Amino acid sequence: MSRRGRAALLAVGPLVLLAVLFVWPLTLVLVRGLGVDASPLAPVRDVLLDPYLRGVAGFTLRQAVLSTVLTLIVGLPVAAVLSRLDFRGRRTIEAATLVPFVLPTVVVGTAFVALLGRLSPVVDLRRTTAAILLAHVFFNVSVVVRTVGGLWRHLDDAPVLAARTLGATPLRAFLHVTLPRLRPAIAAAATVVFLFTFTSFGVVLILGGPGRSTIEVEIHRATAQLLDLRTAAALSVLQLAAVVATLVTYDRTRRRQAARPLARAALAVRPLAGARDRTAVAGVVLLLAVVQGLPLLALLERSLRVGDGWGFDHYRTLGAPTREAVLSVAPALAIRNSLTIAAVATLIAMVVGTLAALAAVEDGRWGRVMDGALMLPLGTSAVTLGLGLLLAFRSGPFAGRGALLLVPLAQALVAIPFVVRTMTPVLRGIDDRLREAAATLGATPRRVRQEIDLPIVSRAGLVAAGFAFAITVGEFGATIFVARATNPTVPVAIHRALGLPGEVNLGRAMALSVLLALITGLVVTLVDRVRVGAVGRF
Amino acid sequence: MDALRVEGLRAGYGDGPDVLVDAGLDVAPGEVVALLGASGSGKSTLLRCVAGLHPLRSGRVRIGGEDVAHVPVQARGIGLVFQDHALFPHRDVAGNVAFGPRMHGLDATSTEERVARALADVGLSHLAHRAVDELSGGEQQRVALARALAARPRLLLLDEPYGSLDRPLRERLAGELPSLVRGEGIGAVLVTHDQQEALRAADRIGVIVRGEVRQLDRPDALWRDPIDADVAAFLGVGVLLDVDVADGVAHGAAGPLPLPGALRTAGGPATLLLPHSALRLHGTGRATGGHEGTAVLTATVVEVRFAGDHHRLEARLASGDVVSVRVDDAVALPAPSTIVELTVRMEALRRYPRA
Repeated sequence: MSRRGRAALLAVGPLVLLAVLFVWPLTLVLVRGLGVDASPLAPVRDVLLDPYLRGVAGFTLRQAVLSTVLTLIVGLPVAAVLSRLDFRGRRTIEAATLVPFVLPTVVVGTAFVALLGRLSPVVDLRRTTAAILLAHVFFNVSVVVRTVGGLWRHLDDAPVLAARTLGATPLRAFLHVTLPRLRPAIAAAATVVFLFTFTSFGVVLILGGPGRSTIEVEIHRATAQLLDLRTAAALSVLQLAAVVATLVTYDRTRRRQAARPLARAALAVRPLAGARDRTAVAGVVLLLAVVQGLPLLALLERSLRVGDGWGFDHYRTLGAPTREAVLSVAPALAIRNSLTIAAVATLIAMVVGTLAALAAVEDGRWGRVMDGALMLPLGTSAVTLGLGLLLAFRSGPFAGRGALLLVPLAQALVAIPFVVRTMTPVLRGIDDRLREAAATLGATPRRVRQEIDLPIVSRAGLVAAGFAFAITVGEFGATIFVARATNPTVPVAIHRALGLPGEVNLGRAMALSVLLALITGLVVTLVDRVRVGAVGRF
Repeated sequence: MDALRVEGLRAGYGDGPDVLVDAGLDVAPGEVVALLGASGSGKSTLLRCVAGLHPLRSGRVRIGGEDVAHVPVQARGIGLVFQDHALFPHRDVAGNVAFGPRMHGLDATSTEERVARALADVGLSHLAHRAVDELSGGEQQRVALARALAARPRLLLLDEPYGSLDRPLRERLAGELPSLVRGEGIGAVLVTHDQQEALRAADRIGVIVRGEVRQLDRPDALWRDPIDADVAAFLGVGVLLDVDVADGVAHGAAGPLPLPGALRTAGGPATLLLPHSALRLHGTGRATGGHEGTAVLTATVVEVRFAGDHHRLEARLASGDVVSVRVDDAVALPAPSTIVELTVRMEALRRYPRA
């Protein structure tokens, strides 16, 4: 069989899965939202004419723009210090800024309930826009630090020095020389943050309230509370259009940017010199401690607070069902559910993702098709995905929301692109010279496979599986649509516990959030340990 | 016994033409031989053939006197250092260096000793437990060298090992190579396209042109006596003039040059090598016009540059070729565009058949 034939054969599985779990459900959403069977575009028109929903759309846009601006304001100084100055603890701080980004959104929401909610040690900002914006900044600072800092670190100092010798003050040199050169990275970071916050679901669902609902939350409300699938679908269409418009605009501006020369890292980073540098470092550390450290500390503190003292009571009672609720499930069961479902989802993602990667290795054209096709679910909001799955599987073989495989399948869909991206380069080619080097050092062909191929491929597999697990165990947007009420995952259980009255439920939500954060953190840390060279970096 | 002897080597890729045509080479124990050649000249292929990583079409490779035609790569006892080092990304520095001893079945203690010694030899003992992707380019190169040496090879092969490094580091590392190789008592082949690197590292230099080792000699002999016009051109020894020889005089666009006895063999078309080092500004230094064994050419000054401890005069001959003349006397430097006379030390001229 030709390479292309083999590639096509390998691609069949992933593409069928994609068609059944993504294309078909999304088509149903589009058909409903665009009202193809009735008068065209009627559902969308109705949404646009509804003053309440127009308000929701307005708020969605406003909070996304504000979140993006605030994240840049916080993130740029951090990026500047971490990428230009070398000091003890720099790597640790850099790693710490990444922690919030890998946390499930429900955990982020809960952390801000702990920090700003009732009984807050700071101030009661419950159900305010400020809480949402702060949570978004907490979550997204790392995007700016990584994207902008990554470029900044490689910027050659010479043009700035040239500007200074030509009479520019440090500020003017920054504004007229450095800033324009950073623009592509800033635009990229801003686009990503805007998209994340525009489609923010978990955070807004938990921290928002009347008048502070995003399109994403409204899709969920229309589906779960009002059973108005027509409006939900129309909102999804609007959301999708906005996301596509943003991406197209970004792509247009990106194409106009010319490539700029970069220096090697070693040239750009310098050790601390003088009081100004030390103040800058101290300022950034303080900023990060407040913006990123405080919410996590508050979450931990609230999970341990019992009455006026502290203890592990909330953790100990996780095994008992909730008395106050009708559909009460013991949180411990949710933990078991989450781990099982995430494990199954990881397995599915690994099998499908590896098949897709193998197809990509066999044939470059299939590779591009697979890569593009499998990235599509990432560009679609999780809630839209959940709505589509709900529409698609209300009847038929997967009838009922509880169909056992639907939850892990939905979660796997979100994790597959990461598996493909991690496995493809490794499968495509372990550098042949590594094998040759091993052979010249005395390794027989069998030893070469044992010592070179096996460790590298299996480590990449571990990295991919770790990422897939971390993503699926915290998945909320799609899961909440398809998870059975009596069989919730941890994020769903946290959301439910936050909605119940009483200090016990709040404490449990906090304790569950801490556990979920620990699980995610542990997996990501382990992944980081086994990572080989550039393998598994995104 | 030779550390390496290569005879009549032919090799190529797929059904393509020969990349190596009758290549030959010999290396003595404790000796570094540099293979110099333009990119695509076949020098890396030659190295891969010796290593057993590329099949021969014909010819023979002997390592330490043993014909290795049927010896697989892992049993040849060679250390190969790759251009971008090919360090194992999943092992730390010590793990990389320990690979060879482990493959040869050494126990843990002896392996550790070998690793410690190899790392000490290249001055990297303090980095033993670093991840290899955290090292600088120079450090990675040293790890690659230590890894190759720790396996105790009979022969060390280096394929453009300093290619990714900047010039000062490149020359320093190349300068460290001979003592390491002598210390191990093994032979080494250094493939490079950089003359400075070859001059730093090598006892002898082989020039490879279009798949053939044209000349293998000590550096001074190589520069004094290039065997053909290709070698002379590649080394940049001087300018090559197309001339017609008649009655012991070479007639060309640069002007007539009376040839010394040894070059007068026959008349007809020829290519004449005029080494830069054979030229002096007329009326300066030892060589003054009219002396026995010299001739005079006129040239137009292009520029005069200060080159550290002397000046160099760039001048255009009547043929259009630009020569570079050493000027020791800085008192009477000619201005650009002036016409000067250059004396030619005739014994330095070389005559090749016209290509």
